[in-house]
Amino acid sequence: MAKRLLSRLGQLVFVLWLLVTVMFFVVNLAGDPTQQMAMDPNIPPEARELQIQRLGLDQPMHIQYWTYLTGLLQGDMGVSFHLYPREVSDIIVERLPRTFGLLLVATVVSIVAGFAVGKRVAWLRGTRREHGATIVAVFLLTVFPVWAALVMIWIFAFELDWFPSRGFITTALWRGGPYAANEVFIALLLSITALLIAAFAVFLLSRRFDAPWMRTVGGIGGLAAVVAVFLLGWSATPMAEYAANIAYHTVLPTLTLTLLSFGGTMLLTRTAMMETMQEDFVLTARAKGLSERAVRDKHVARTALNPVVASFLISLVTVITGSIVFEQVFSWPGMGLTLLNAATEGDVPLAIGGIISLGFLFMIVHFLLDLVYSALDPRLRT
Amino acid sequence: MTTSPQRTATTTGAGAEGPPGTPQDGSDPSGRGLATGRRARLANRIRVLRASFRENWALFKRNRIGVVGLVVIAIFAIMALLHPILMDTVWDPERYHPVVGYSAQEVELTVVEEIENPGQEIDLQRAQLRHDPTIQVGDTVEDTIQPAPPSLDHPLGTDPLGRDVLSQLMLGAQTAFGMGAVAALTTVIVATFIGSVAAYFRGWVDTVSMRSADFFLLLPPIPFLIFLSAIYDLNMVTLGLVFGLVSGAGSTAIVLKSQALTVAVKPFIDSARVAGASGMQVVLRHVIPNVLPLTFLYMMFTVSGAISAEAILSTFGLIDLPMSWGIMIQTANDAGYILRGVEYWWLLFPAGLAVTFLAFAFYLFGRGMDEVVNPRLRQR
Repeated sequence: MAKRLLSRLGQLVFVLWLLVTVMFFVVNLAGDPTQQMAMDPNIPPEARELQIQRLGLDQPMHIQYWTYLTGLLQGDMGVSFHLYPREVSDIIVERLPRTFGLLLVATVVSIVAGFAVGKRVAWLRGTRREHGATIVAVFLLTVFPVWAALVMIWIFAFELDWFPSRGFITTALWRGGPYAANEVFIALLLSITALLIAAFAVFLLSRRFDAPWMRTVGGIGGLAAVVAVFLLGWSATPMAEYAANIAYHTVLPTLTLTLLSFGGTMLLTRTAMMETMQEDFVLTARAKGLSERAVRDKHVARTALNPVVASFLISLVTVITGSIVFEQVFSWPGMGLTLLNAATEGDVPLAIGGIISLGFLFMIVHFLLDLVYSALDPRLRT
Repeated sequence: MTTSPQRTATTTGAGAEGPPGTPQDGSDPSGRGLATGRRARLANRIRVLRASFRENWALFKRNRIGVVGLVVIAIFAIMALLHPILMDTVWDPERYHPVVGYSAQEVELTVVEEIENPGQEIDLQRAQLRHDPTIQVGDTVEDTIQPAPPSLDHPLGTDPLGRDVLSQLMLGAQTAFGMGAVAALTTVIVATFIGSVAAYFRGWVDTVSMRSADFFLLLPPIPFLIFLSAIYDLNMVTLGLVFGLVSGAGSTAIVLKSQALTVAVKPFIDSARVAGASGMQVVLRHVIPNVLPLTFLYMMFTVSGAISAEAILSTFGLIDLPMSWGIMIQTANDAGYILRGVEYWWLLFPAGLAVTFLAFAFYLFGRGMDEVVNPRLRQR
């Protein structure tokens, strides 16, 4: 297994290199990217000279490529044009964790919920409820994300007035406050990661009970305890007010993203379940006299989990696309919004930095997914 | 990838046709005239095609979701085709042109303190400023409004710039279909070629194309297109080409390769080779025709994605287009009407639901075709 993962890691590094190289040539085919700088009155001409020297644009192509690669390895991606004079790497370090947090929560919640709903829906196959649920899921999968986000803002921010319609923080609260927004956000992200891991551990532990009702009670009780610890822990820290402010702004984009990626996972689970239900071992399980629930959860769903996790990469594309759209619509300054702004402003270094960092994020999640898959599939557990 | 994204790849014998051409090639040993032989072959092939079409159509019809998808696609196609005809005959371009037309509706408005029904009321302050300073609450004034609610002249009302929404919607359908067609064709050509060649020739061709497929699989098309728009000016054709290339050389190529592999080990491939066909001939005449049904299936999912991509990019103003559904949403949102909700429903729903429904319809149509192409799903 270690060998398999190592070779997978090697492949990912190769693909990342390919991405970086393709980006380099895509940009270079278009000519001098600093032309944009010459037209911006905020940027002095010397700065353009500096940028040309830094990227080696007056050098032959192969030296440029080398400069670019070594620069990337050292985390040097040049200076942003439209946020001049900020370093691209600096902007990425500030904003990538935000997008990662958005993706993490949306992905985990949607995959858990999508799988749980999908397996129940598959069991109801042929009924009106199954058709209804499937249509809703296909709608969520194909709905135009920009429009969906606007409708969510209209419903939740204007009609119900539950959440703010835009932004990342309430500036009035943070002005003169003791914390930087990112400091609090990172703490929030880490604690949420810990919360998710703890919840997963509780879930695994609760399944070790024999009696089904003990499993339910243990699972729900344990989950409640973990969430209570999380909330109490946060309210004890002085950051609590600020963290709550960020969370308040983040709920709506996360909810929208979760809803939209939920549809894909649910459909996938449904299809995988239906294919597994035809297998002989399901018949055997029924013949043994197992309860429907045991057949569903322990035999069919467990087998259907593998293709769902394996195909998850495809839904990840949807989630990343969704995060770009929602960050823009909700004015939530993560990497997706940065990439979009860079594109509209013609800010080439920031656009390269944006796409590479998103690619990097994608690679990491892909690798983690591979880890999960290796743990799930007994054929790979050697 | 440990398993293919859609689980159709493991099934054998995509179409019910078998190897087209092969039996006919063998059944002409008497050395009749070349022309008659060719004609007979052609007639035979058409007969086989028609028979398989009928058979597949019956299968497709049994599954209602596919038919629903097809109907919705047809409605949008009619809208797209009807637009130039309407512009030439019934609609005056001055008023109905989707981009430069202008038509402010003359309406009788009641003066009120606070507007509750837009399109029927005007608030006091505005009425006093625009019409008559002595006007009182309860009076009526003649005024032009934009966006105007639906009326007989404008079945879906007008947008914040006084342009006809229905006309825009129809032109948007044209844009969506154009973009979808370019993307679909590119996907089909690229994926079929890469998949078949990789499966037939194996070796380094296989390795190179599959590693590049891994790369394209990991390249989410929309972020990549956004990145490209920072550097190049994208239009509908380039957008479709790039989208088709990314999806064609990526996921679709992987699925088609595994399908082509099951074809490439069939005996008739060996027969063709023994009969002296060159590698490219075998690929073009025997492998590709047998994976084509699956290609068309994946084409549908590509179109679904391409329509959404076009709408997203045009919403953010990243492509050079006169009008599209994305631009309609952007126009309405920039003027603040989307967030007014159902009050301005003719700005909120048409464009957003058009993107959704067309993508939805192509998805359903693809699912319906899946049952035809993929025998394993039929028994359900």
